[in-house]
Formats: sequence, structure tokens, C-alpha cells
Amino acid sequence: MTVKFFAYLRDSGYAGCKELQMPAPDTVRTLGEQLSHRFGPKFRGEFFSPAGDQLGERIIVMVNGRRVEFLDGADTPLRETDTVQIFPVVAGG
Amino acid sequence: MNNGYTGLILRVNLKKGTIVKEPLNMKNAGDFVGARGLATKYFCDECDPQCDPLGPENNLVFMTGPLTGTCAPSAGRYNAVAKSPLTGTIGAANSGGHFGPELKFAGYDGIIFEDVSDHPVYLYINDDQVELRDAGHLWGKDVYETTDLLNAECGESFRVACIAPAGENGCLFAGIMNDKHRAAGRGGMGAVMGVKKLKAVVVKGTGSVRVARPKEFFQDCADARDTLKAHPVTGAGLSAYGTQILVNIINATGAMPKNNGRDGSVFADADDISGETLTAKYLLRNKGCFGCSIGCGRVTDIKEGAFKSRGEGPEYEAGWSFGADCGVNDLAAVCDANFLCNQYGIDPITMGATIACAMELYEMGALPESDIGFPLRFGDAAAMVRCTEMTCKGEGFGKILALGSYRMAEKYGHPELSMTVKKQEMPAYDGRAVQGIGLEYATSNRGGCHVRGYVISPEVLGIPMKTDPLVTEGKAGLLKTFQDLTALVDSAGMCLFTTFGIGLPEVAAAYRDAVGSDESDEDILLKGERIWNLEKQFNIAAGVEKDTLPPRLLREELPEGPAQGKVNQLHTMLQEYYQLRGWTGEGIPTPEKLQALSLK
Repeated sequence: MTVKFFAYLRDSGYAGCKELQMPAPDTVRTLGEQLSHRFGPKFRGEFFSPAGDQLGERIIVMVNGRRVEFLDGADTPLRETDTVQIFPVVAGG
Repeated sequence: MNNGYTGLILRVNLKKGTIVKEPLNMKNAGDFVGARGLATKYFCDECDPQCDPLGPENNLVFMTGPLTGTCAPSAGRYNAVAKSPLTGTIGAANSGGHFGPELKFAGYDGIIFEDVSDHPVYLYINDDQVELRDAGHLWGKDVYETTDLLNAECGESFRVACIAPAGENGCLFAGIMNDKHRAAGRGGMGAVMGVKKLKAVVVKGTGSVRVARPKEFFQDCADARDTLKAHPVTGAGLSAYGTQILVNIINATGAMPKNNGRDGSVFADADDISGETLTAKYLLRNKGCFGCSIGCGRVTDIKEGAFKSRGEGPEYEAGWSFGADCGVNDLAAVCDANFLCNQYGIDPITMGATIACAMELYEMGALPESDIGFPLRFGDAAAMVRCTEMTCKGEGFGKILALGSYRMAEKYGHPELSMTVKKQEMPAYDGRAVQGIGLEYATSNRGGCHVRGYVISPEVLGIPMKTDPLVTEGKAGLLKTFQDLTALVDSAGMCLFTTFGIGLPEVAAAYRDAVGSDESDEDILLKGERIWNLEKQFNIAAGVEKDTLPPRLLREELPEGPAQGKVNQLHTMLQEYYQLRGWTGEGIPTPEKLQALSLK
């Protein structure tokens, strides 16, 4: 599975890279746990809500270009062929 | 006492050379707020909708809003309104920088330019001293040269709004540039200025803007600024990366048109032209307009190579038009083309999209190479920049490109390949992958445009709520609210980007305490709806074509990405939209609706 990071999530202290390849965990929530374990508390603070049970308000998680809110949220299942895109909240125009 | 307003406008007849200071129509100011709305009201009351946009009957109205020049957040805006030579619709172009506030500090809410001069002139405003001056020595100069010469002539502290050769030569999408790098960009307001032989407006003012309830107003503004600073977008993201940060997320959504939309909307090289790459490779610093805490502007420098150049930008829309839409993955070339547009006074959205259309016409064999002078394939960065430069300077094939993509594609027998609504190019979001933005393009009162109701915000970015971009349910109501609120924000004189962090309650509070009104939030939002209907009335009277989208968006399924197989379902949203607006099934405001809005 491919995981892509954008904006400041590419910086050291967060993911520190643009993308990585990894075995697909079962869900987006598990992916968040694995990435947080790997990258540390700053990343966890972005990925999860303060209570740790929901996705954070400052993050956008997409699976193959679809926001997980329109799939199964943090319980969205993942497959080896998936691409997960992780953005901070952004805007422009 | 005209709280929020100066209470004076300038009426300049360019043929007679007369300048009259007249009281602002306060009844109209109350009904249409200011800037976009009030300028449109003045324009509609005085001009025939059937007038030739490049003729003497087409007035050009500059107007600020009641919050322009105050401490309200990002309140540095003015609007330029005339009938658009590109679309035939009402044209209303909005710009930031410092020009609008300076006009108010000089004592004027706006300027109405009537008729045409028989020789180049500029308008000089130094508080009470207002005069038309000869601009023969400025004609033919670009934006930077013109601004520098006028600052040398009038004083460094004067603010300058001007046109460049593109406007002088009648490019239908020439803009008005102020403070060198800020643009009232869309719809060809610069071409209207060029016909009038009005090269520039220079202004310096030493006054200030009075508000009705200062204590409450300052608290409103402080609260709003705190909210904006705490928001991850307006407090951090936009200043760090600029609007170009949208490239990757729009591309991931499968909504960034590639190769004139011919090949779908997933651009494999998106990261090469992204905000992240711009920041890493070319950004010198960010920059803000008057009273702005966001600072989304980019000061960028291409230090070496074929596209060595320096300037400001690009914004996301220009990054897309010169990038993915032309199949170009060279960010330096994208920047160079954008800088040229600023220097010569051209709307970069229409410029890039028109070149993309020409590339498609060329590749299909409809546009002969002999007409262009060189090959023009998707992905050719040098050819893209060359086309931009030719258009800016009015040279060779650039004269055809200067007509915009619709008239060019029509000339070569394929108007359906122009990605326009009402002859103005749609911006950087594919209406097949984001359903609501397709409805927004179709119904925009100034033709294809994203900032008349930016539903990308809820549909893709999740601000202020999350809605699925692939569904049509609820989009009509959402869009109507966004359109009305946008008309209000534009007319108040604030930057639309503030609405990523604040909304109607904050804008309405600042408006109330600035002008001394006790109207409810709903009453104030109704002014936005009134403005929207006024614009629509003008367009109907002008004979503008119906609300629709290019056939590509309605019939050609997206070939790949998250929206694979999708087209825009305009027909399922449009009737609901008309119904919510109180319009007929043909999109015409009913007498009852007009009466309810106090419109004739």
C-alpha cells in the first residue's frame, strides 16, 4: 500500500517524507496507530482527536481520492492496492 | 454622517474632461452595500444592457465597500464593474492590495468613468485635488514601468491602478492591475479601460474611515482576527504555502483538469507544480494586502534557466491553467507565464485555458501550425510561455489568443472545445468530479468563475462542513447560500478568503457596527441575494445565453480517478436551484421575487 503526505506533514517531526510503501493494515484507524507509533506524538496529535477515538479535525484522510468521511470513516478497510493521501486542512482558490 | 462610507463619489466624463464630486446615493448604499453590489447598481441604473462593451456607452465603475480601509480583517478590496467584453454579462472584477483603501482615505467611495477620451489620460487624485492628466508618455508601457513612472511623477506614496499593452490592444481578458501585482483580473475590465484611453488612476489620501460604533466595531474586528489566526487555514496554511497548496488535494480528488479536460482530471506530475514545490524551490517570502493577517501572496524568484524571472504568484488557478491544463510540469515556466500576465495586465486563468484549447485544436489538426508559427502540443512549456508573451504583446497568433478560447475555437470550427461558460473560461476544478462547482459555473453571473460561490470549500476541503463531491443532493441550496454570502462579502470590501475562518455572523456584526445598522444577520444576507438578482436581471436584459456547461462536462465521462465514469449532473440540480431562488424554470426571477427584494 502507498501512503502519501502533503504540506507540513512532510516535514521532520511529522512524517518526514513525501510517501512510503507499507503492508496494508486492516483499517484507516490502524494505519493511524501504526504511523503515530512510527512518527511520534506530533503526528498522532494531527491524525487523531484529543480523545484519540476519532480522526483529528485538522487532518484530511483520503483513500484513493475519496475522503474517508464518505466511506466508513476511521473504520474504512484498506487493501494492498490502495493509495492513502493524508493532508492537513488546506484551502485556497 | 456617512459611517463606513465617505459619502462622495467622483463622476469623470472622459470625453468632456469633466470631474464632478457628487454625494453617494445612501439609499442604494443601504440596499446594495458597496463595492460589487453598489457599483452594479450604479451601472445598471445608467447603462443600457444592450450597449457595446467596447463602446462609449459602457461606463466603468470603481467602488469600495463600507469596510474597505477599516480594521476589519482583510478589508482592502475594491471592485471594477462594467459590461464585460468577454462575456457580455455584467463584469465585476475584485482586487486587493492597497488601492481601494487609499481611495477612501482620499475621500471617495468610488469613481464612475463615462464615455471615452480622445487621447490617453490618467486620473490624479490627491485628497481634494482631482484632475485628468495626459498619459501619452505612458501608453505602451507595461504595469511595472507605468507604476514606476507614475510614482516618480506623482510621489512614491501614491497608489496606482493601471492597464498595460494587453488592455490598450483590446485583449478581451485584460485586467486592471493595482499595486503592481494585484489584479481586478477577470472579464476584461482592462479592455474597457483601454477603449476609454484611461491608462491609470493614481491616488493618495490622508483621511480615514469613520465608523458608527467604534468600540463595538473594534471588538468585532479583534474577535474576527483572533478567529482567523486560530484557524489552521487562515492562521497558518495559506501564509505558509499560498493558494497553490490546493494542487495536490484537488488532483487527488480527480478534479484538476488536464490537457483542456480532454484527458480527464488526474495530472501525474501534480506535485511538480504544487505549493509544496513552489515553497521549496522558488518562494522568497509571503505577502499580504491591506489589513490582512493571512498573507497568501507569494513573492517568487526563478534564479536561473530558460524561464529565469521574478514576480508574485502564481495562485492556484494560474498554476493549474499554465500547468496541468496545458500538460506542463515545469513550475518555472508556469511562474514565468504568470509573471508575464501580471506585467502586461492579463487574466492568467483565461490565458492558460485559451492556450490549452489551442493545444487541443492543434493536436486534432483543426488549428494549422502556419497560423501559430510553431508546434503547440500539450506539455510544451516553451511554447506555452511563448503564446503568453505573444498575447501580452499583441503579436502574431497572440491576436487570436487575445479573443479568448470561445471565439478562437469558433474560428477554427470547434466551439465545443472551449471550456467556457458564457464565453469565460472555467477555473481549476472539474465539474464532473465535484458536482456542485459545475452548478456554480453554470449559474455564475459573470461566466465561468469559481469565486461567485466557492463550494469547493465544503465539497473538497470540508470547510465549514463536509459534503460529498460526487452527490448532487443538497448542492443547489448550498450554492445559493454561498453565492449570496459571497455577494455580501465582496460588497462589504472584505477578502473572500476570510470566509474560510469566519462567516455571516462576523461579517454582519462588522457591517452593522461600521454603518450603524440594527439589521439582523438574515436581513444583511438578503442584500447579497438582492445583488445576485440585480446581476441576473442585467444579464437577462443583455441577452446572455442560458445557464449551462460545455458539452465535455455533460457528456464525456471522466476516464480515471475517484470520479471515473462521472459527468456533471447539471439537469438534476438546476431546476432545484431555480426553485430555491424563486425563479422560473427558465431561470428568470419572478415578479414576486423581485418585489420581495425591492427590485423593479
